[in-house]
Amino acid sequence: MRTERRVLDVGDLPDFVFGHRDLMWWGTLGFMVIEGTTLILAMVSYLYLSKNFDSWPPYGTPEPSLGVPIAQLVTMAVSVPVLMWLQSRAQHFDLRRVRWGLLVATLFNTAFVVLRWYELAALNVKWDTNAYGSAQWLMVLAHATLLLVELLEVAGMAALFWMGPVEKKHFSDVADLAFYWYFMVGIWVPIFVLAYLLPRWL
Amino acid sequence: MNPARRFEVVPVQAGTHIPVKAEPAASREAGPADVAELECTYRPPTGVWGWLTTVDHKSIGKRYIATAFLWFLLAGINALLMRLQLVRPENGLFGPDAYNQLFTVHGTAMMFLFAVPIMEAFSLYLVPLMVGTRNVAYPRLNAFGYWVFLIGGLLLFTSFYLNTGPDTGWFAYVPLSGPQYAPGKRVDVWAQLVTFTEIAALVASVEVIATVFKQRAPGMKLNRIPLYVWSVLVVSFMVIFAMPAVAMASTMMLAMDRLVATHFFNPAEGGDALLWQHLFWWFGHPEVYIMFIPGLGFVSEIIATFSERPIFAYPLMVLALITTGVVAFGLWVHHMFAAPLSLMGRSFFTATSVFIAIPTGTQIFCWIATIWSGRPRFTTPMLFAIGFIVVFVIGGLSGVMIASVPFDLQVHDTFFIVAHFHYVILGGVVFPLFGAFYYWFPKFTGRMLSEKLGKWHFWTFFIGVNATFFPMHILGLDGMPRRVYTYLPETGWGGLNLLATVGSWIIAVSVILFLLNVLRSWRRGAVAGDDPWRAATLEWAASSPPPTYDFADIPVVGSRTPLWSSADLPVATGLRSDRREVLVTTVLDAAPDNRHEHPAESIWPLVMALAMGVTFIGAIFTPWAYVVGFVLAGIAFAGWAWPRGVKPEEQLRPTWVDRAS
Repeated sequence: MRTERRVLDVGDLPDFVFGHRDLMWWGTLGFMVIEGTTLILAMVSYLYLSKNFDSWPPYGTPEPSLGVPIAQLVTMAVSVPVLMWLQSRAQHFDLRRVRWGLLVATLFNTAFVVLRWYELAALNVKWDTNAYGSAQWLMVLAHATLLLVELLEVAGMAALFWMGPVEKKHFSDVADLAFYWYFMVGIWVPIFVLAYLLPRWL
Repeated sequence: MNPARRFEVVPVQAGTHIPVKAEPAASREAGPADVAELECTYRPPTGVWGWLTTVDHKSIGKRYIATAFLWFLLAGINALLMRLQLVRPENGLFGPDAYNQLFTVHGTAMMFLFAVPIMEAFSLYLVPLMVGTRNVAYPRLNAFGYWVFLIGGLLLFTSFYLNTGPDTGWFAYVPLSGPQYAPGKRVDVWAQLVTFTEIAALVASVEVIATVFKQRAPGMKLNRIPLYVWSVLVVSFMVIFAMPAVAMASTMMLAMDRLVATHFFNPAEGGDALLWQHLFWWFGHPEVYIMFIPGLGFVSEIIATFSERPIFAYPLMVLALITTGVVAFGLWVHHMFAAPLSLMGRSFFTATSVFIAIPTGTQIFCWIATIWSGRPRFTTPMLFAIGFIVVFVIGGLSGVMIASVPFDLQVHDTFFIVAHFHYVILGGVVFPLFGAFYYWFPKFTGRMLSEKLGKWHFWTFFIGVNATFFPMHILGLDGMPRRVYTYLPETGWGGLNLLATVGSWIIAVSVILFLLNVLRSWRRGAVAGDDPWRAATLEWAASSPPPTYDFADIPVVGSRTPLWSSADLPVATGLRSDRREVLVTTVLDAAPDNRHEHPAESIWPLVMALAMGVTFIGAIFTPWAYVVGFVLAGIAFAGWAWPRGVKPEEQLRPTWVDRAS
C-alpha cells in the first residue's frame, strides 16, 4: 500500500447539481443518442425502400390523412413551453408548481399516446400491405415506444411528487425528463414530414 | 515536477482547476476516510441474495468475464467439431444441417457473446479503477446489462442443443433467413439473441462514457487518461452509433418479416434484400473495430509497463484510436463488393479500406519504438502483446489485399476470407485478451498466474493459430468455399485441411493449459501485492483484489503515469463514508465539481432483465409478447425507481434552495 498524501478536500462540494454537471444527465443524453440513431436509421430505410417504387405511395395505396397528425404536431408544439416552465420550476425546487406541472405533462403525454393510435390509422395502410406500409409503421411505431416509455416515467414522477417522499435528486430527474421531452418532440418532426407529407408531395 | 511541491490540503470549489496553488488552510478538518465505516457502507448482502443483487462493478465485471469466456469455450467446441468434420474429404461426422448450425452458432457466439462482451466486461472492471473512482456511473444499469447478456447466451446455446440453433450464418442474409427459405424458429432465435446482446452492449457503453467523462480522478485531464481508457471510450461511442442498426434490422425488420408478414426484405412487395446488407454491415464493420480497439488498449498498457517507459507518441496514439473509430463507419460496403453497386461506391470503399491501415500502422510503429527505446521484460503478457503484433499484421495485410474489388471478387466466400478475419480477430482480440488476463489477474484475485505455464500457453497458442489458419489462405485461393460441410477427394484439399485440424487441437491444448493455470493460481498462485509489475496506472494503487469501494480516498493525478511520478499517492479527502459517494469532475480538465450518491444493491435490475427476457423470447412466438413485456417492464421500472423514502421534503427544502443559490 502506498503512503497517501492528502492534497485536496472535496467535502465542501455540492452533493446535488442540475444539467450537464449531474451524472444522470449524461445517461439521459446517452439514451437519446441511441434512440435518435435508431430513428434516423428507420428514416433512412424508409427513403431507401422508396427507390423501389415508381410512385410513393405505391399505386393503389391511398395517401395518409393529415388531420390527426397535424393535431398531434400542434399538441406537441404546445407542450414544449409548458415543459420548459416545468423544468425551470424544478430547478427552483418549486414543489407546488412542479406537482401541477407533472400532472399537466402526464396529460400531454397521454394525449400523445392516444393521438398516436389514431395516427397509425391515418397512415391508411397496413404494415403487411407492401414495403411502403412496413416502412411507415416502422417509423411511426418506433417513435411510439418513446412516447410510451416517457409516459411511464412522467406518470411515475407525478405519482411520486404527489404521494411519495420527495428527495432533492427528484427535482433533477424532472429537469432531465423535460430535456428528454424536447428530444422526443424534436425527432418527431422529420418523421412527420416523411410519413405524412412526403407521400402527398411525391 | 514533483507533485509534492504543487499540492496543499485545500478545500475546493466546484469547477476549480487543479492542481491548485496553496491557499489558507482548510476551513473544515480534512481527515482520511473512515475505512471501517466505508467497509460497512459498501458491504454487500451475503449469500445468494447478495449474488443476485450486487451492483459492484468488480463482481459484475468478473462474472461478465467468466460468462463470456464460457461462451468462448462452447463456441470453441463448435469450431473443433467443424474442423473434425473437415479433417478429410467426404467425412460423414455431420450432415449439412448440423454443420450449418455449428458454424452459425460458432460465429454468432464468438461475435455477439464473446468478443465484444468480454472486452466490455474488462472495461467495466478496469475503467473505474484506472480513472480512480469507486464504481461505474450507473451501477444498477450495469447489473441489468449483465443479466440481459446472460439470458441472451442461454437462449442461443439452449436452442442450439435442442437442435433449434440458427443456421443461416452469423450475418443471417435475407432472403435465406427470411420466412420463405428459413421456416421454423431458428432464425428468430438469432434475431432475438442479437437484441439481448445489443441492449447489453449499449448500456455498458453509456456507463463507460459517463464514467470516463464525469468520474475521473481530479487532475486526470483528457490528455492524461491511460490509453486503454481512451480505447474503450472510443469503442463506446462506436457502439452507440453502430449497434442500433443491427438491433433495428433484426428485431424490428427481420423478425417482423417473419412474425407479422412485413415486407422490408421481400422484393415481391417492394422490399429489398440489399437493405439488410447495408444495415447489417453499418453495424458489422464497426463491430470488427469495436472488438479489437480495446485490444490495442491492452497492448498499449502492457507494452508501456514491460518496456518501463511511457508509450511513445501518446497524442499520436490517441489520434490513431479516434481516427480508426471514425473511419470504421466508412468501410461497411467492402463486405458487399459481390453485390451490384456503383463503380464510384466501390472505389470510395476501396480507398477507405486501404486508408484504415494508416492509423493502425501508426500505432504499431509507436509500440515498436516504445519497446526499442525501453527496457523490455519478456513476461507472458508481453509475449502475447508481441504475438498480437505479428498475427494482427498478417491479418491486416490480407485485409489490404481484399480491399481491392477484383481480388475480393475472386476470394469472396472462400476460406481466404475465413483465414483473414481469424487472423484479425484472434490477433486483435484473443492475443491481447490473454495478455490482459495475465496482466490483470493479480488485480482480480491477488495472486499471480504461473509464468512457466503461461509461456507454454503462449507458444502452443501461437503455433496452433498459425497452423490452423495459415493453410486456409491457400485453400481459399485454391477455391475452397466457406460454409460447405464437405469437399471431394479430387480437389486435393485434404492435406491442408488435416493440418488446419491438427492446428485446432493445438489451440485446444493451449486453452486447456490456460484454464489449468487459472484454476491452480486462483488458490495457490504466488501472492501478488498491490503492484506486482511496477506499472504506472491507478488500478495498481488499489489493493489486490481491491476493496468494494476501490479507493478510500480518491487519488489526485498530476501526470499520465501517476504511479511513476511520485513514490506516495496524492489523494483527495472529503467524500462521505456513511453513504456511497463518488466524486464527479469536469469533462475536459477533471476538476472536482460535485459529489454524487450511488445506489445500493437491488433486485430490480434482475427483474427488469427477466421482463426483457419474457418479452423478446416470447416475441419469437407472438407479437403480443411486446404488450405483456411492456407491462412487466413497467412494474420493474416502478420497483427500480421506487423512492427510498428517507427524507421528508419539508424538512430539507430550505437547505436545497440555499445550495442552489
